[in-house]
Amino acid sequence: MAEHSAPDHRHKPSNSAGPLALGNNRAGAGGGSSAAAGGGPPTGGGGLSGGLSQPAGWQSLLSFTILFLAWLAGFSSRLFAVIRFESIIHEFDPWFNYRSTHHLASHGFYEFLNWFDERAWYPLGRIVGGTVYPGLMVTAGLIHWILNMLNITVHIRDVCVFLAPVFSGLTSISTFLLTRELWNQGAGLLAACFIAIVPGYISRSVAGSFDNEGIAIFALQFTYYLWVKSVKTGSVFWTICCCLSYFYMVSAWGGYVFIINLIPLHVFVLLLMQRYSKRVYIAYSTFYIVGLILSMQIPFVGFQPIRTSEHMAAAGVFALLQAYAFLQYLRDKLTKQEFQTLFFLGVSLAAGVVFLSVIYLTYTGYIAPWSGRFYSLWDTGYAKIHIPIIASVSEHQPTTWVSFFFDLHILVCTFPAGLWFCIKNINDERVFVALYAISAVYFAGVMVRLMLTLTPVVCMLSAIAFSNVFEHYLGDDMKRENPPIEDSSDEDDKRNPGNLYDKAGKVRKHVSEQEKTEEGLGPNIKSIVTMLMLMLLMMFAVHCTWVTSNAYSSPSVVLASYNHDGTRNILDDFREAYYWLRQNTDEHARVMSWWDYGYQIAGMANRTTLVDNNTWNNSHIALVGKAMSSNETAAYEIMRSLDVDYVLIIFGGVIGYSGDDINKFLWMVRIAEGEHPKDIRESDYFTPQGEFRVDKAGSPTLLNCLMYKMSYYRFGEMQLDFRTPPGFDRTRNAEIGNKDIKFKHLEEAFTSEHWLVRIYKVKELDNRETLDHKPRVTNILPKQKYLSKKTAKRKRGYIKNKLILKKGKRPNRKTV
Amino acid sequence: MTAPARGPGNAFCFLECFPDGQLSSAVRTVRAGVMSGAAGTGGGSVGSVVRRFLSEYSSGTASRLKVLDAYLLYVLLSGALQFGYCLGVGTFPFNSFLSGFISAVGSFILGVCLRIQINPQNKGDFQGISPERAFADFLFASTILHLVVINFVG
Repeated sequence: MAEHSAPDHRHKPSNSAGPLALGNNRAGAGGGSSAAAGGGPPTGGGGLSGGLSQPAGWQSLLSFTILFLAWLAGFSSRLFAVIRFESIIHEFDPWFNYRSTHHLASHGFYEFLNWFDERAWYPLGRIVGGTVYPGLMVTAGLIHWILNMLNITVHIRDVCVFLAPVFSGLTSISTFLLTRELWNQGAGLLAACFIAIVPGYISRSVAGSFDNEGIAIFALQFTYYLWVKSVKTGSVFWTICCCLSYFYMVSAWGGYVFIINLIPLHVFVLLLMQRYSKRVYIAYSTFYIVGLILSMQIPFVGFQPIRTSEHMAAAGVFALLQAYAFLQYLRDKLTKQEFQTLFFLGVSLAAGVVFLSVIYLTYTGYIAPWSGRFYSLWDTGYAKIHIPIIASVSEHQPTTWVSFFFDLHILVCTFPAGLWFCIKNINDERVFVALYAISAVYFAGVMVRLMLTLTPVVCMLSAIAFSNVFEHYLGDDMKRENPPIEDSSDEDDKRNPGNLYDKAGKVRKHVSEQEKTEEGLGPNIKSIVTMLMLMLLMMFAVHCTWVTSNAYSSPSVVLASYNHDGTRNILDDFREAYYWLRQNTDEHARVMSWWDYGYQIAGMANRTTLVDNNTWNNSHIALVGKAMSSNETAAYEIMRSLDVDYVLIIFGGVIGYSGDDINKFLWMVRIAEGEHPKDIRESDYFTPQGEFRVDKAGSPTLLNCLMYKMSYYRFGEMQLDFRTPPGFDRTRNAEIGNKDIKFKHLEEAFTSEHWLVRIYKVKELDNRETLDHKPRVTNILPKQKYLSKKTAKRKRGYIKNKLILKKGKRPNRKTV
Repeated sequence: MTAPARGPGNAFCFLECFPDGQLSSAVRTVRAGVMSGAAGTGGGSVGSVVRRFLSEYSSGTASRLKVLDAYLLYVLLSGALQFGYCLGVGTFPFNSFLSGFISAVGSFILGVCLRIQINPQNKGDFQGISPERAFADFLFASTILHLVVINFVG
């Protein structure tokens, strides 16, 4: 009976992989068939109690297949953007990464490290080698180099485009490893499948999104895996591996601070819970000291690990751990009485010294206080008041509940259950995952962007929850615990033999015996619960695919709109405009734009920019913001002083594109106000009622500022639709208030097809300065003998002494 | 017992490759210093505790571990020396100071880890780690550490 029912249920271990793979078109065919192939062989065994010679072999084959399918599903569901559009780098930051990777690939590593980019931040320039996390570029450059060594000629762009999807597979494998360390193999496989397709992670790792996060999540998970491994074994080898992985993480993403705070927190909580062991000591001390010096090898990080407050927790825990270990050692050697005499002396001395030295160092400025971004993590209102440039980035906004559900779907509901299971059966590494979950939830709530760090832990804990449920409802009440399971599991699993969960998690095993279980809950309840769970997973897969396809697969460099009949319009205005810049302007022309577009201009148009997405110089950005928000004359002075040749703005009023510069305009004003409070005041741009309006009721300051004029220049002549008046802005649904816009110092240079990008040329100074006053009036009248009448309206000849006829008056007869 | 005993001996041979080459001779002198210093301290309840601790130490610790302790003490002193130099003279080539100091601290930590792992009393904690494995780990970690230190010293 098990024989014929088995093939169907063999899909169960891949129940995550199966639906997931089916969720997207391409992996579907391959996924389904190979899942069947992977599930097929165990059928021949007729269950594990049968005569199968090596069940462990089947098991590892199965997990290997599932991991491979998860990789495939994850990879292919990230390809929507490539299929729909083309193999193109997305968004903003990836363009910079691509540009520097290109530089790395064409000039070599040392050139890259020493690269001074004079095309960014125009008068200042930027030391790129010292201000980037080079991990991403080096990874892509290395892959490119290896492929070319093997005579596989791939363009660097394609390497960059497909890097994140490939690394998502590595992420799912490291998530599998981590979850296996935490719970068991079945949960690990589920977690791997979850993370392969969860939208929260896909959002930063679709093909073309060539950004740090794409590889950093892999490094994060892998570091955590190695950390848990080294805490479990207490082996220096694993710890050193963890350090190397941490080094990779430091080289890849600024989020490494999360690791260097979470791991000390774990150790600290273990100390508080009286769970100190020598393994923890070995793992943490080695990790800290080797990781410290490794992290300082990255030029961008430099001496920060010993200078800034973000890293001080790690140092403090290190010192604490040394003291604690030393005291432990003494306690082993001495009697209790003797120990106590030393204990108070030692502890009070150590604590006092550490505390005083930290205070002293902070006071004297050796340790920098917390940076603004970190303050904004604790006090969510901080950024809005003090650092508008941080608050202006949409991904730094607090997260809404909707986006939790949107990004994680069912996992957000099930992961507390997994957390509960972990806390209920606590051990050293589960303390870690609990802390990870709690801190990540907090940070994800503070910033949308940090949803990314929450996603892996949610996947792991949900997998644990699901795996547990399946274990109970598909299982055989733990009767058939077979030795083969232990064969495949690690030596570390044997350490906690008392823990059932470490042994019995092989979902695969129970699945085949689902129908045999009569005792316990009864088959009906079991099958209902199983069906429900499978339904949830299925809906999760569908949701993931839907979200990926609709929300996260837009390159945002190329826009698409759909007509009523479903056909698609590609709006390629950005590249059109950048290409125009590249072809029609001087090679060293300086282009001013808002900082969002700096990287794209540098990457696609290859022109010098004033500000870009690396927002390191706030006052420079504020100057650009001031130019945009003052009137034309004042702006012209600023632009002359900055040597601006062209001004580029994004205008969405024609097609109704909401991410344009008018909608971002208030941030420009705020940032400019922060630096130049005398010249720019935010309240000037609002109506007396406090509204931001672009129509006639808008404030006159707004209607005459440079950004407004550039956006709406000649827009008043354009009637988009017969139902609307000319000059009707579709984005803001208003008829513009200033239709008669004239420029004195600028001229329109280029406007793209859908008016999305408008480029203005800043005129040179006039050859002859126009006088700002009237010429002096003198009393000497020019002697005018002959007055040419050619300029007169009627160009008739005239006769001297001709009779002048006046209407309504009789002509003098005499003269006639 | 011969094979494990060779372990620390190898460590010193290996460490001689590193910049501080006079290590093994230094270790011996330091160890002699420890032994003589043991008798010198005394006085008060703390002093008596310390004295008892030292006698306990000299009797209850394997000689292998004592050799390792001597090495640790040496590394500790060299670290302290560097720190004192930095306090007195200044930190000017900061990366050089850091790499030297971290090298000392790191060697100390790795030595402590090795000591913990090869200590027979801790056998229960480290199931899968034999003394040979611990020593190999120590070598591996030291190699990584000192490669980075050499890179960083500038």
